[in-house]
Amino acid sequence: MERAAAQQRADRVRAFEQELAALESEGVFVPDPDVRERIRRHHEALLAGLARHFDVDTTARTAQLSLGMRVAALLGAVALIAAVVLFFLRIWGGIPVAGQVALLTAAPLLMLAAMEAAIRRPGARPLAELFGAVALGAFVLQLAAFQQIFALRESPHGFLAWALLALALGHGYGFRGPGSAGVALLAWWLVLMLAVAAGGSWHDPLHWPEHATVVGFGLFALGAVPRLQPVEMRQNYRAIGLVAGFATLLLLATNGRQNGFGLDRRTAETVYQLVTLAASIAVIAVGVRRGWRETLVAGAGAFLLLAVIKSVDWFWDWMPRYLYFLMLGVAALAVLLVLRRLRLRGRFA
Amino acid sequence: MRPRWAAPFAIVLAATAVALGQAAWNRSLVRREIVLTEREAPVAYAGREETALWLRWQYAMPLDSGWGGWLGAARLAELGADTSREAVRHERMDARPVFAVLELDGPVWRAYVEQQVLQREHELASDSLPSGRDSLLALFRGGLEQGSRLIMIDAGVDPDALARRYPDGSRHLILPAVVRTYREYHIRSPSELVDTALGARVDLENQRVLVSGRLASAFRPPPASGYRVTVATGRSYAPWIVRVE
Repeated sequence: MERAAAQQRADRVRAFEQELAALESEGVFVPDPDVRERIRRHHEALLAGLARHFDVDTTARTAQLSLGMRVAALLGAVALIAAVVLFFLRIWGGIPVAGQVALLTAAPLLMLAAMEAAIRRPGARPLAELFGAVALGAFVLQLAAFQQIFALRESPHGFLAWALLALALGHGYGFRGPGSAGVALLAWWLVLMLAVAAGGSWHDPLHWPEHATVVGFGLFALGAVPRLQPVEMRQNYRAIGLVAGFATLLLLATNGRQNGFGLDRRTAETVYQLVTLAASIAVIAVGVRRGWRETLVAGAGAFLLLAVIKSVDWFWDWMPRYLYFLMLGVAALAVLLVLRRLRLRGRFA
Repeated sequence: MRPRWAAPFAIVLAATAVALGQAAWNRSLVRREIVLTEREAPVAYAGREETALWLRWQYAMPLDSGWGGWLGAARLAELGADTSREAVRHERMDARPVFAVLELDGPVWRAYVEQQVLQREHELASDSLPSGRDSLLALFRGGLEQGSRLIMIDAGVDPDALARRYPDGSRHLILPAVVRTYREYHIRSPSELVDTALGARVDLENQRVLVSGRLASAFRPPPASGYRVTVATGRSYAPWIVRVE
């Protein structure tokens, strides 16, 4: 069982207890006291086990506190990464190269050790994620500083190293922040490698913006593979992949001159507008069918952005402003009606 | 089953080993040593909150380098840049890793000084008196001659071929660089565009070199009478400071 499934089970138990209490108070159903006591004991033991093994929230109050801890951890991670970088910049001029290397190498390893120690303590998962994020920041600093200290040739493979660490934290521990960073870094490294493979240079990765589209939709497809664990990482692959894919499609749909196939501007814009339209509809369909919220949001976002961009192109100049915004409002109402129908059909209830 | 903490630790240690291995491999052989002064490698202090001490590469580019000089279309094609008309028409920027050759106090630098003085003389010819012009020119020449004597004279993708072409290690410095191409507009007047052409620029990949530990103490306080630094380049042509006098 993975953590997300454990949390779902804990939520179901909580909902069951609440509903049973409501039925009892309404006099609809009064279970046999022995059975009731057996169920209560079983649930207590189950929740205690889930909390111990997966650090899940077992009450509404712990869920709220968890959310607060996650927000504090995010802010703390950003502040601590800044502190580590600025502290190093403050002292590195006064220490020899060997000392710089030792310090830079020790920082991510110590943070990883602190993360591992924290994750073993009950209720300290957000603290562990904070240490994980700081370890990633220290690792980025380490390789960047090595490049400066030894005047090493700039290399795109630093992005791969950072991506691997972030993905190890995402897949191994289910940390969403480092996991998202890992997917984004992996996407960027793949774009750089495709630029090199196509005869270009990694210094100029957006020479062919289409590479980012391919990588983005490739990562989306990877996020559909059920064997990829945990479920939070599958969502990360899908969300970040779609953002990368649609961002470049929209860029090409509005500025066709950037296309990598040598098409003239107008042709390229028409082609990419059609591709964006088809891709966004397909992605919305997949999101609805599979119940993937991030997929639905990304597809709908791309569709709406394309609609706004094209409506500005078509109508802004010859239509009164109030009519233009009225048209957008009516379009939004139409989308709401369609979504309402889908909701009533129970697919998204 | 392998514990989940093993992968993060292994990734950090492996990346550290690769980076340090590259540094050690570079420094395992001194290919060249060149002696520079504060003119070619002035101190570039970092910000108020940073204690690192850097020496900045101070060098000139020949005036004609991007206009059919050594960095013309033929050399750009050799460097792997897309020089086709199509690329120029589509404003396709390009950037590629190369190696640049910097010459110290050589004929190219002396020609550069004369060319600059001549150009200045031409500019001053119309709007100043002959006596004032001479003193201004002398001042201008003095400024150039007391500045950096390093000048970029060539670039290539194969550093060993460049080393064979410029074998004098005490005069020629070969460093990692990046060549960038861009669309250049040739105009006759503000309203008349004559042509578009491929422009290019070569920048050193690292614009400065770090001075650490014992060597850095020679710069605290900064030497009043100037200094000489010996810069070495290794197997991968990455530079480092070996001596400060």
